[in-house]
Amino acid sequence: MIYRERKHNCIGRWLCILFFVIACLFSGFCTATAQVHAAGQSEAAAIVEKRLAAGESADVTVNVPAGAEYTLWVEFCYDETETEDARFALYIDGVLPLEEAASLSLCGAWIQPNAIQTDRYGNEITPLSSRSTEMLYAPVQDAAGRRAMPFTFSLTEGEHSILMQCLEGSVWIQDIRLCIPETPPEDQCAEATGDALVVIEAEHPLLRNDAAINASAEFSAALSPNDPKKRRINFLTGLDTPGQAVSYMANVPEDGWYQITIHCRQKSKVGLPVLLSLRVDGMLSSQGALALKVPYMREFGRTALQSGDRPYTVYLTKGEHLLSFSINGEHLAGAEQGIKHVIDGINGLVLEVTQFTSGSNGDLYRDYRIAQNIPDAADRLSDWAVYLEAQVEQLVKQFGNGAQEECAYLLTAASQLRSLAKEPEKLPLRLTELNGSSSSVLFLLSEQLTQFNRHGLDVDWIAVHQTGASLPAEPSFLERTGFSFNHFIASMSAQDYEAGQGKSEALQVWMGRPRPYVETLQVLIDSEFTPTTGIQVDLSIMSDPNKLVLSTAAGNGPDAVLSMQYVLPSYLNIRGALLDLTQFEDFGCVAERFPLGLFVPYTLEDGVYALPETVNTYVLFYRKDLLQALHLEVPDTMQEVRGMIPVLRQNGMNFYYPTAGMGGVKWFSGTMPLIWQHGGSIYGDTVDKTALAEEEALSGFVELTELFTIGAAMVDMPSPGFYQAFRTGTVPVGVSDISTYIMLREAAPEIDNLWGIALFPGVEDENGVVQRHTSGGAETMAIMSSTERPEEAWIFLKWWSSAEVQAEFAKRLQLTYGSTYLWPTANTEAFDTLPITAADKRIFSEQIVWSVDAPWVPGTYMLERELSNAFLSVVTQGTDARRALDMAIKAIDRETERKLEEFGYMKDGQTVKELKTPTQDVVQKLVEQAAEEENE
Amino acid sequence: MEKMKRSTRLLFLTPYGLLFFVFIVVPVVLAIALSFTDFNAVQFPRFAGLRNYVNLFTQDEVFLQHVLPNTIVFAALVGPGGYCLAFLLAWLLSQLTRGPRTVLALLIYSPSMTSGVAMTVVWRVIFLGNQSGILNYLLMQLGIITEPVVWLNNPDTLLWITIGVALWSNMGVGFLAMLAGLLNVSPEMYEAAAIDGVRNRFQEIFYVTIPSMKHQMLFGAVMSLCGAFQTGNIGTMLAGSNPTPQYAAQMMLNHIEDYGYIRYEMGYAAAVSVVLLGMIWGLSKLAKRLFSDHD
Repeated sequence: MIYRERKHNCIGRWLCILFFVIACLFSGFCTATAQVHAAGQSEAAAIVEKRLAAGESADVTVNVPAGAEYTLWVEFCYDETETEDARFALYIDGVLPLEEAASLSLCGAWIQPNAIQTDRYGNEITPLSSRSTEMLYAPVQDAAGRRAMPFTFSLTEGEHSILMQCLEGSVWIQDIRLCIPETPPEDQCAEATGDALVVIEAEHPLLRNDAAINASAEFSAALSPNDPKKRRINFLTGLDTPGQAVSYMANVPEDGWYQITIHCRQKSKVGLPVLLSLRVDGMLSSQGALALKVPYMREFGRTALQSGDRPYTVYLTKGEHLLSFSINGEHLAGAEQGIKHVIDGINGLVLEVTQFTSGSNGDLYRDYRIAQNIPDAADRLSDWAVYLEAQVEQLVKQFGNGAQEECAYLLTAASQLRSLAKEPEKLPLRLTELNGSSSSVLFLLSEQLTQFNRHGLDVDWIAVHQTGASLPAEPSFLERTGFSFNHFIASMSAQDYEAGQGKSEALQVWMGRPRPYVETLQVLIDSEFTPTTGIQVDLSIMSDPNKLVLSTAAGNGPDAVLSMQYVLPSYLNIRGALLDLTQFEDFGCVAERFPLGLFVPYTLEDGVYALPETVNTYVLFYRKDLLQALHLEVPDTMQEVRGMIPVLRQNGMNFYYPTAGMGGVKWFSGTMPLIWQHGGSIYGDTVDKTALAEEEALSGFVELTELFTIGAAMVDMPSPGFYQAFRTGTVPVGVSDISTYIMLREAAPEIDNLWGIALFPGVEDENGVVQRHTSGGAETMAIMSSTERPEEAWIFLKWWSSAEVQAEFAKRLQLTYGSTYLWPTANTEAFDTLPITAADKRIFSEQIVWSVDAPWVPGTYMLERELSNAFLSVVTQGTDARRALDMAIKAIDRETERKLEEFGYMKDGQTVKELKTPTQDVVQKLVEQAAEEENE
Repeated sequence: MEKMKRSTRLLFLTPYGLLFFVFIVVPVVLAIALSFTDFNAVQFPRFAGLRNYVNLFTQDEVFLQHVLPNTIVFAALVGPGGYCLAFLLAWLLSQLTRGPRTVLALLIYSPSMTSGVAMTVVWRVIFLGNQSGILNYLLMQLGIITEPVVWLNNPDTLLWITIGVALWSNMGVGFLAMLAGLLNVSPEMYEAAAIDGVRNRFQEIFYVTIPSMKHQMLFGAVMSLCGAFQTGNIGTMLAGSNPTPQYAAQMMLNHIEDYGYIRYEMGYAAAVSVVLLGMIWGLSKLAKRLFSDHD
């Protein structure tokens, strides 16, 4: 238990180890090869000593002593704030030495604290990692991590110029060296006799190269450590994509040959093993160490790492050794390339075919003369099928018949291609089988790529041992049953983060988000907020917002609420359940942290009842490759969108507008943008009559409906339809939100770098300025009026909404749970720190400035509903837009009147008290007023 | 002795009586009480007299124009329709031998077990509103339509699709009881009827089968009528929202949810649910009159 021992050691010893680790790091940590950083190993070097930010480049000249194959090594380091690996292009003598050199990455390292923190309930929490700022020495590798060995390229003797152009991120480059590629020795057959044993708990890696690899907890008797009552961090998860690596320090008791056994679970690859590369102190001990097999295991179990058919053995000297495991996806790289090649081909063929069908689904009774027009269509299709099957065949040869199971999508795609090849004349009619949104060839191939990328390895412990050693025992049936029983009993008592556990001294705050968020925030509160302010906060998970309403009615509601849906405050404040935040004197400067448009739904009369927490803005997504193939520009206005739809339709494609993804009620975020962009609004100065009848609103509504009736955009495409259709290319351009952005970024490997985002296509006003108003509301926070501690609750909200805390929270989430946990904070300053590509972030930030939400006053839900009904009756039933809107307006005004009467603004049809419409100007005024009062 | 018996009887009744009281009587009484108040779920209820009921029948256009007609059309078609379908299927199955009968009975019953999730997945794919929807694809292939029809967001089609799906998922309920009833009719009855001059299968069903399975018929009728009135989620699940587009498939239950949890007018929602309770109670009385023996 080397790790455990070290915990008790003194700092000095720890520093020694750290020093050693750094030394080892120099030898190349992330999938590094065996080039130890010793003098004489590098054949040629050039000092750079320069920080490269996106767009900058370093140009050096090296003198190559002899013509040979070389690898390129870089000595570099990252700032603590740089959480994304830098990507760059490499040119040698002005040309890309390899195709992949267009996008290479320098893999940084992550460290995590040694001790595991527990939360207030005694549960261990996922440790927070931080960026290692040490100097690293590693070979350049491709950004997708598809190669287990670094790139090599041949250079002739003499001077060569090397140009590194940074594409993304920022990194300090110390120097660049050319090295002779490592050639690991042949496998040696040695018995690891003896009884030495070192067990390393995998959840405590020394270093990792991806924040998504994290320690996790599960209640299981099979894992160590375990506890049936409390969460114990007990295994490492998130090892999923090729190129990910973790390193451990093993303290070997004596010289000798050793085997390596890991206690793990591998649920992703049924037919194929997951391959691990193991480098000891940065070196491959043998060729076999490049591909150690981990078979499919549904439950945690022991597996001895195998190279070929024999257990892998390695000679280790007494003392500490750095073991670096990385996921090797090289065996799948060929098939991946093949799939990408076929996808390109299919996209081309689809465009050719749609030229003859003008984008329709094909006419059954028309002869398209495919044989004359695209004579090689059938050959192409069957060639692709043969090609794909050959890829599978190769995997079968290497790994046995299980490979067919792993390649199920690919084989189905191949047989579908064959069936299409049999009757090329039917191709126009069967085109959806090639590129439709589900079960088409393109879809299957994309799914296969995703499947290839999934390696899903969870590791509990790693044992470096000899054959005579007795490894940690698996729990017996009785032990398992006992554990489950105890866990079951423990689950009966009070749960952590459960709402309404009775009033205590602490501030009660409910948060409408899943556990990872609540846990992360509670830790942040306990470590940063409570010590400085002395205010205790109990955070609880609010699983259902209705619980808030009911518990308020019952009188045991919380003091403050976080992460509630953005229209909920309006329902609560009209009934007096929320506190007016303008009463706090520093409200003005707090409000200025957010785009003011987001406050509109929380404003009523002269009060503002909530603060924005997150933002959900809409931007335009487009496929660069397809728009280019169709000679289309990225649309900037709705006019341009309308202009491009016919071209898209002629090619069997379409445009996506967010209303298509909504169900039976089209929310304001779908129906309102065009009305705002035309200068319309839903209410006039007061709310008793809707302003939808005004000319501006009507023209916005007409433009919206014409997008579907005349423009023929897609009317219905429930989520995740757009994500799928965007990947297969049938909808190459559309407007969608941040969650689509995350999905495309994280789960669409086949179109990496082939898509981009742009501002919401708006409407040009008379001055030529494009108006791009969109809704931006997502989640909010508020203080309940029943609270006895409004001041403390306000201090808490101020703290939580501040830029530093929002940025820190976003960072912690991302570091703990990986990049899918993007926190789209509404705080403008904190938004700038989010780990999004700079160019994309600029688009988002600019779009967020245009955020404006509809006012929510009594009866607004009816407005949203009736606007949606009017929209649908125009689009699906062909009603005249003006008539549909007139019908809606009647229903809206009637309901508004009814509601105004309920809340005492009207009596018997007569206005008692005017209710002013909350707008951005009203918010602005309230904020300024608050700021003035503060100054006084 | 007589006294002992009485107390034992009461003792045995207690668990049921208690549960019935706590989970049925109390909520119903509370709902009726709430229906005479204004209650916004946050503040304390205010007594409103009969105003909720008056508003419901005089002012609530959505209720009178959409919800009530929809519910009646839906219940009239799905209740008796599902009932007839269940009987027809049960009768057809009863003609089979044991093996295939069991398999088919299970198959036909399965839709009632796998309602929610399976339903949305399967039916929404079939009625998807773009060209990859199965129905749209077929119709376009056959040349019947040229542009995809937005089935589930179109008020003209949504109600009928909802009724179709409800028939599919509701017929299993009474079906098992009826099948059991059909199999219980003793073969001697048919033989006797044949001797008495029954000439065809239809007469056999009408004069022998139905009279001898009245209890199961009653059970089936009450179940399918109640089911038809209480089914509310099919339309909203198909459309993906409550309310359904233009209230096209808005049922009483959706209306209650709309007022209770979207508009927070709990008193009004309670009034609607009391009306629904009354309707179901009346109809089950009617069913009982139609099918029970008058002895």
